[in-house]
Amino acid sequence: MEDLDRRRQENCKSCGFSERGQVCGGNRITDETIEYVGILAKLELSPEEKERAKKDMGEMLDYIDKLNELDTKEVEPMSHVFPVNNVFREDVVTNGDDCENMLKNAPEVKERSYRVPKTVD
Amino acid sequence: MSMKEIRRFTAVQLAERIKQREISVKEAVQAALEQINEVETAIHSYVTIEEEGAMRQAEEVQKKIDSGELSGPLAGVPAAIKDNMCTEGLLTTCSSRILGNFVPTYTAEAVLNLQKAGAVILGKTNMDEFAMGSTTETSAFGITRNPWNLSHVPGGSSGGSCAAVAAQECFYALGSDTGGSIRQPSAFCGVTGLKPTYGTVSRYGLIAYGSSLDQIGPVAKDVTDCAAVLEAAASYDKKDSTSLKRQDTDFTSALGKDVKGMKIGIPRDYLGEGLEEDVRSAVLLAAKTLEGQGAMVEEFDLSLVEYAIPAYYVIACAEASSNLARFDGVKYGYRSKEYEGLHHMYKKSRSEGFGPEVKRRIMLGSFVLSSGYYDAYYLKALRTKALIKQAFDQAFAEYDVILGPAAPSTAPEIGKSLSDPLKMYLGDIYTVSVNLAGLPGITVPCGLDKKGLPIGLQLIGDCFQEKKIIQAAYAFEQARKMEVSPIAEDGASVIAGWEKSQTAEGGKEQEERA
Repeated sequence: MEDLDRRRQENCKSCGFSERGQVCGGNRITDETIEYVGILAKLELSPEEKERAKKDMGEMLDYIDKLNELDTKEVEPMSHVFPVNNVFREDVVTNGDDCENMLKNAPEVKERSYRVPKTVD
Repeated sequence: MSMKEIRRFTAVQLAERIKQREISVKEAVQAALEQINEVETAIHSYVTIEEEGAMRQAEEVQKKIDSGELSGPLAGVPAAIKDNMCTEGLLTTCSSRILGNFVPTYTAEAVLNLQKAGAVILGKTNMDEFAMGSTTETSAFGITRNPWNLSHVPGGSSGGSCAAVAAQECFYALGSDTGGSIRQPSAFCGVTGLKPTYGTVSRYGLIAYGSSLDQIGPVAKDVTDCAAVLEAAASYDKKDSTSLKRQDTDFTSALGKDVKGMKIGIPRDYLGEGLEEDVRSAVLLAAKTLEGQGAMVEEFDLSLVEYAIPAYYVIACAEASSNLARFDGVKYGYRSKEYEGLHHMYKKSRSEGFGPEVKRRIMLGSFVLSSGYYDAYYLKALRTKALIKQAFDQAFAEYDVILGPAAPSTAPEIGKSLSDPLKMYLGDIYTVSVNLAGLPGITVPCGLDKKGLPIGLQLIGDCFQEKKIIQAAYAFEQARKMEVSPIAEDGASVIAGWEKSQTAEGGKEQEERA
């Protein structure tokens, strides 16, 4: 944590970015990137949220770049800590029809179905 | 027996009294509800309180106890459930606006297992929205206060579960731990919390955050209760494909065994920069206590400690961005009132339904998974995870148990954490690597700091070695000489005088929260 404070007091060596209280390790997030990530994440951000997201994401990525200190060329990515393989079962229905109950949670319902805005013309 | 006396019992003690007919299940429930009525306005541990339902369950459970159908160590004990576990017919919000009206049609396997063991569900506890946070301040339904000091947070994300146990608003609770969310708030609230080996408790019905890291576990008054609750909650479940077939889930069998000859290692990096002095000395004193019990304690170098947080946030956010894609305003949950077409409805519903911290993590997760960055961030983090697992494997070749603090500080003041997310994330330094490596970890209260706030000792075991950490934690608990409840023996709690200060400062605090 002291390391973070120290880095925040230094100017970024690559771009000279020195806004008070911020770190810049080179990951300056552009408006285009935020737009693109917004599309991927299906989020609509207000202009203020976008500015905040640029700062937060840039700072997080600078911090995450620390991982580049590690040589991982020979290391396999580990998605699961145990050697658990795919788990299969017979493709048979075991649960009953709970349609009525499930539809109680739906924002909009029409004839035992979820109602959504028109999707195809 | 008075309600205050009933509330002082641990879960296992209470079940024994119920079995002996000294206390009825109904009285136990009333004792908890009385406390909820007394302190809930100040502490706000719960999102939903199931008052009538609890009384109804109490009758059913009492019948089963009377008929001999239920006789286990938790039969009849009132419990609270973190609000990210589905409960049939009972509101389950994840402390998010997007699930503000969600009533599940089924119950999470872990909760079902507790009900089979005779639990009475009192309600659903507050949490950081979607378990994303370290303070319970990101909840869409208001903050929870630390029962030891109401101007401090209870920690998070299982802050409601931990505060409820500390404030005697339930006898035990379930929490979930993705990067420390059971262990850190347990430490901050002076209760005992255990995160089991990944795969020990079924995740079926647990609303996913980071699926490869999420584990449900107990929050309780002592180690015995933790072991008993975990024993009841653990099961192999076909409905969770990461669930493990374990034969050794008789966790209570580890209670009472001494620690003579047990090898305990303290990572030097866990005592370094950034650790508060009071926490350091309390944790080292706890190590001395265990040494006095016959354990062999030494410091060692656990490598890669500083890489755990960046690896964790990449993996957790990546998984979160994928898991939270299901919240689209179609099948359940919040749907925006105004939109133009389907995609705009998705976007608007999500943007209005999620809070800032959840959006922050979904954005970061979407970014690290996007083409062009996937290898550099996501795969890099998974490779780092493999190295961290190796480092722990090496450590456990030498030691039975790893000992350290649960968090670098005690509970921060309300309102001081959220403005600087990165700084808040750094507080997870001692907990996240345990999730990355799938290990079990337990936190036990080991002292108070100068401000009178609890300090937690963390004991970490190798995969499947819950019994070793339970054994060590129990031995420490027996030797520890400290008061571990914020509620005085006469039942007087820290909320006395709170209401007065609340009317004076209320306006200011409301502003801060907004």
